[in-house]
Amino acid sequence: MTAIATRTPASLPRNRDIADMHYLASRIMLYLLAFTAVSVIGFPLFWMLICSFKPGGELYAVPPTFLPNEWTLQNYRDLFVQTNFLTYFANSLIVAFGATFLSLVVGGLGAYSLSRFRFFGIAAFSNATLVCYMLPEVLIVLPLYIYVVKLGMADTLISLIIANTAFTLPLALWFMRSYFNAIPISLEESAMIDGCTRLGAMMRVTVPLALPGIISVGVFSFNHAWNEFLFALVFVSSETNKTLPLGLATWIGQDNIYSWGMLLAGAVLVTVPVILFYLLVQRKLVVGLADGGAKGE
Amino acid sequence: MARVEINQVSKIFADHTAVSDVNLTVNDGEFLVLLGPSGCGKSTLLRMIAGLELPTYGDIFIGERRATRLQPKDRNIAMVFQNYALYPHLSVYENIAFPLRVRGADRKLVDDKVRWAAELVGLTRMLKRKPRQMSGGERQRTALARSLVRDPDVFLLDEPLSNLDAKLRHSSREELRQFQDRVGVTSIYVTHDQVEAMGLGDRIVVMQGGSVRQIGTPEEIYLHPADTFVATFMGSPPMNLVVTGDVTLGFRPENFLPKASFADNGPVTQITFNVHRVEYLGGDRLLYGVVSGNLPETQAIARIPSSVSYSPVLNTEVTFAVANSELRRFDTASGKAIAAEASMEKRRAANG
Amino acid sequence: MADNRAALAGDRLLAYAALAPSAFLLLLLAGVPTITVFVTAMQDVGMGDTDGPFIGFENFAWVFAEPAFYTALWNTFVWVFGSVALEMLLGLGLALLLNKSFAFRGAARAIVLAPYLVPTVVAVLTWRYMLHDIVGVVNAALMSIGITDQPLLWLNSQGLAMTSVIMVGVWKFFPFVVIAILGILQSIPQEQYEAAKIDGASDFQQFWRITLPYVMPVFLLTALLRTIWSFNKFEIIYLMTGGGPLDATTTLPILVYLKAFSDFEFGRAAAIAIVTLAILCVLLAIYFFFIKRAEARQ
Repeated sequence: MTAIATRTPASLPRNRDIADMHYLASRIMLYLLAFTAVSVIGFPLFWMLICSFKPGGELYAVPPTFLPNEWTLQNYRDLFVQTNFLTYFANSLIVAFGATFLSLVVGGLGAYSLSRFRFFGIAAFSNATLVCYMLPEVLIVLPLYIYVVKLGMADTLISLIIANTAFTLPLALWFMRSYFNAIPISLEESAMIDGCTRLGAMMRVTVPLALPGIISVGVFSFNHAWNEFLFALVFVSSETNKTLPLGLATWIGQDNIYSWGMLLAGAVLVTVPVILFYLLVQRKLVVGLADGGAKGE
Repeated sequence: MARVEINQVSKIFADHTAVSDVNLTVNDGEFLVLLGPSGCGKSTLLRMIAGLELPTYGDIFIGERRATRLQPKDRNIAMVFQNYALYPHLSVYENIAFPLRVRGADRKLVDDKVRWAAELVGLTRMLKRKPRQMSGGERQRTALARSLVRDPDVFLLDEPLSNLDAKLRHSSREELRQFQDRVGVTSIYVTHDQVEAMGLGDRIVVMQGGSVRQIGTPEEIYLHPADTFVATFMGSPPMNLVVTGDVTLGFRPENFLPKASFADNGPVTQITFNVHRVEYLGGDRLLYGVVSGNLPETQAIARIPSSVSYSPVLNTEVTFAVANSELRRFDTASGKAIAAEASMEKRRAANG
Repeated sequence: MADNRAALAGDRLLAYAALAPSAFLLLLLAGVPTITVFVTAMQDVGMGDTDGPFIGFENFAWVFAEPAFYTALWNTFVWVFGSVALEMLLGLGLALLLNKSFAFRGAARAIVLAPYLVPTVVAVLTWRYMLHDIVGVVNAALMSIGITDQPLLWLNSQGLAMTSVIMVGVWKFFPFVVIAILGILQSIPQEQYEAAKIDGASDFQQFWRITLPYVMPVFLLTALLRTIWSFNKFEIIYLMTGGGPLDATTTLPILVYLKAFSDFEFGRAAAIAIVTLAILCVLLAIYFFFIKRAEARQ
């Protein structure tokens, strides 16, 4: 066996000639195209990152420097010392985790029901959830603002948590239903025969098996609530209740030419949790988004 | 252990009737097979016994208890599913231990029972594996062990061999039967495979279109089918049926032999047979042809053991015969067997 | 005969009970609000109030007589058509490119998808810094290669503001198209290409006769989805330009917001929102028609 294997390359001519110009040209084209596309698309984020390390003066240099002449963490230091960035960060965490938890629990139960039972109105309900997801935020925010004011919940984080579920809940329902559908019903039936109640079978068998799916739905919901801007803009007025997007947006709005450094540093820090979560569920995300493509902004 | 009684049970789904008015008693310790083509209602019936479906009408008794509306967990039954339904996130050990853990059994008892069951099915060395690391046969034995650990009253099996390849299926069938003989639990087994049913069942229930066609021992069902459906469903190749006016004649291919091979032991019916094609199967030859003569022309098959020396001549009318005792008669209109009762009674008397 | 039909209803009860919290929240957060908007649209709600006298369809009459509404309608059309067309073209091209195998493809894919994951506020911040007329890197680059000798006012000139907003929107959202099309490209059975090669099809013919027909249903559906989402889009435009300069980038959602929370005319804002919803419903109807047809075909 080995004798044959070692003899072959020497005794036979290579079928793909190294100097196959046509092949070579098409490879070079491919790499050129890919390199151009990636540089153009990736440039803004790259620029954001390196500029956040430039000292104040260099950020306003005309023409701009490419790499910082002097790397500094001053922008990040200013962000923590001079602004309420940490408060915003904490508020965003509370809102995002709150909305995620609420949609996972409520949506998980609902999705289980949609997946495991056949009953009247199931198709109508599924379509209705999809429509909810496609309603313009600006349409919902008008009446919700009216309720929030009437209930005395204006300028609270809890109002933001509940409002956010208007969009994260349909997402949770749709995705978790398909995850539950992928788990054979006979596993639950077997657990019920083995002595579990229906709820017991769900908690002991279905939920552990759907865990990867549940985690990725959680990440989607978190991401949505983390990025949400309009509800925060309308509901929140006091500095202590601002979320990150709202906080950063108010700084842009002031268009204070001396704050670019802190803004870019803040932008980098807001992006970090998103990227971390992305790495956590990378494969699921791509599959999930491509799957039907109907949901997942 | 317990007997199971099924009393006038029907299951009506939104768009069709899956089971209609089934009456059935499974004796204590019996191995009963529910047999029928797909969609005949056999699985639905099993699921109603398990408590996974509620009968629309009728009652189910397990032991002395009326179990119709009991939750599955309260019936003390065990079930082996077609896909085995092993919990993919648990090891083999935890899969087998699951029914005990759910009941909150103490650690010592769980461990003893799991090792006992694993020993019984020969899985002792695989307890740490996950189900996906096991072969089909090993998964099936895991499912068996899981269903054993808590001494069920009734053992339900839903086509447990259908996911195995042909060779493994044969040996598993053997194991399963030996195993049931040893444990002696009342068992109800669903299959669409008549060979499996014949090999395993103490009694077979043949179902079609949601209702029971015949209940009996494998022998009764094979030799004295209650109607033309059972006659053609059992046996491979199936029973030859020849419609002659109001009466349909039936005879098994292995009883349909050249006239010459009948010695003078009992009266025979002569049938003209024209062979078109011969299929050699090793132990047997199958002769495909058309019966004619005094009967209406009908396709038929004869099965001749290779040990019988006979060289068929193709496309020529030859005289074949069937012993009168092996000839079955059915009412053409209803398909029901006629006049079988008398001989059946005699046979029962002789056997009993 | 024992009749168990009553007990069968128990299971159904459980199903409804598990679904109830979801149904309640969705009703509270989407169903009731939609109805409330209808009611508000028929009221004269002004200056910071949340309630007002019933005035029938007066607010709608105002909407259709208001030039700002038609400007916003036109801007919405330009924004939606411009960004969706570019997103689809760019998305298809990059999906085809990223479907080829080359070194570092995984890294290339991650970078191409990154804009979609970045929070909108971050995208806007970064681009606003890059598009800044004096210190921005875009103007610096354009001037250094001589395309222009004066800094362009990307966000502050009426002519360029919409172009800038569309550019940033495309950069942020085209990766969704890449993901959707990449998914379908990877599901095309390789045997089809092998059979085509044996039948003598050129690279272009393979693309035209196998890839394109395969991708087309998903392509259209994605385009429709992007249309609906772009139509609803609020924050990216609001954060880039606030709808300005003047009303150069005021789309319908921006107009609703400004009427409600800047002019505090809730009744009129609600009326615009209803008209917006009506247009959206047409898009949704087309979307569901497509989905139904796709399901029927499977």
